[in-house]
Amino acid sequence: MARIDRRGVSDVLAVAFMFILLAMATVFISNFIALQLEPAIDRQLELKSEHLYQALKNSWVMPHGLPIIRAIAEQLIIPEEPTVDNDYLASYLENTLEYLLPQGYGAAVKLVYGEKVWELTYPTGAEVEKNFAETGTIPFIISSENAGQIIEVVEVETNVFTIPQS
Amino acid sequence: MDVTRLLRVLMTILLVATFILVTVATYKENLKVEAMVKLSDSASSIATRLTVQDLAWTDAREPHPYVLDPDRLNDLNYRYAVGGDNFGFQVRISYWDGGSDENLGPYGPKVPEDKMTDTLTLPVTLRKNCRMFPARLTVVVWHE
Repeated sequence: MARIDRRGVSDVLAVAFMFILLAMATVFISNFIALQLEPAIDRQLELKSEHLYQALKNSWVMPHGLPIIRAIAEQLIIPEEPTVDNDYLASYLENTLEYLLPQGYGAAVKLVYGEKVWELTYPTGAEVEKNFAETGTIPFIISSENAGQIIEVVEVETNVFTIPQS
Repeated sequence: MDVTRLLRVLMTILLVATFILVTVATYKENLKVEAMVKLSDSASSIATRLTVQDLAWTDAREPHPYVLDPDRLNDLNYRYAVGGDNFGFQVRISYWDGGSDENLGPYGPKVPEDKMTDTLTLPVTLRKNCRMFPARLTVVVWHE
C-alpha cells in the first residue's frame, strides 16, 4: 500500500471509484425520475375503465336497440325469453371490446344476480398484469300479476387490464 | 511522478466535467418527465370534460354524460385552460355500427409537429341518427 501511495496510484483509484459511483447514481436517479410516469399512466387506465363501464351501459346491441349491459342482465333475470340470443350477445360483446380497447389491453365483464353469474373475458384466458375495476348496479322493474311491480337489482363489474407484452 | 500527477489532474477534471454534464442531463430529463406527466393529466382532464359536459348529448330534459353528440363538435372551443396553462387539442371519433368502422373528424386545429403531444383514447357512446353506437373518442393534446 505504501508503494502505491508513493506513486500516487491510490488517488487515481479513488477517482476511478468515484466514476463508478457516479455512473450508478445516474442510473438510479434516471429510474427514479421515470417512476413519476407510472401513476399518470394508471390514472389514464382508471379513466378508461370508468368510460368502458359507461360505454357498455349506454351503447346498444345492434340491431336490437337494447343497451349491452341491460341485454346481459336479461339473460340472468328472464333467461327463458331474453331479447337478444346469448351466443349472439357474447359474440357482439367480444367484438365491441376488441373495437373499444387499444392493443395491449383486455377487459372482463361480470354480472351477478343472486347466485346466477354471467361473465366474459376478452381476450379469453389473458394473463392480467394490472387491473382497474368499475362496479355498479342495474335496476330492473318486473311487473307481476300477483305481486305488482318488483324491482330486481343486477350487480355489474367491469375490469380493464393490461396484458404483459411478450 | 509527473506523469502520475498529470493523470490525477486529468481524471479529476474529467470527473468534475462528467458530474456537471450528468447533473444537467438529469435535471433536463426530470423537467421533460414532469412536462409529460402534466400533459398526460391535462389530457385526462380535457377528455373527461368533453365526455361529461361539452360533447355530452342533451335531450329535452337533461344532459347524458358519456353519450356524445356529434353535432356539438362544430361549436366546440378547441382550447382549454387547465391549472392555469393553456392547452390546444384535436378530437376524432370512431364508431362501430356492428359491421364497419366509421370516422368523424379530426376536428380542431392541426397538431403541431414541434411540440410534445399526448394522445388519449377513451371508450364512449355516440348518439347518431337516434341510435347509440359503441365509439372511441381520441383526443390529442398539446401545451400552447
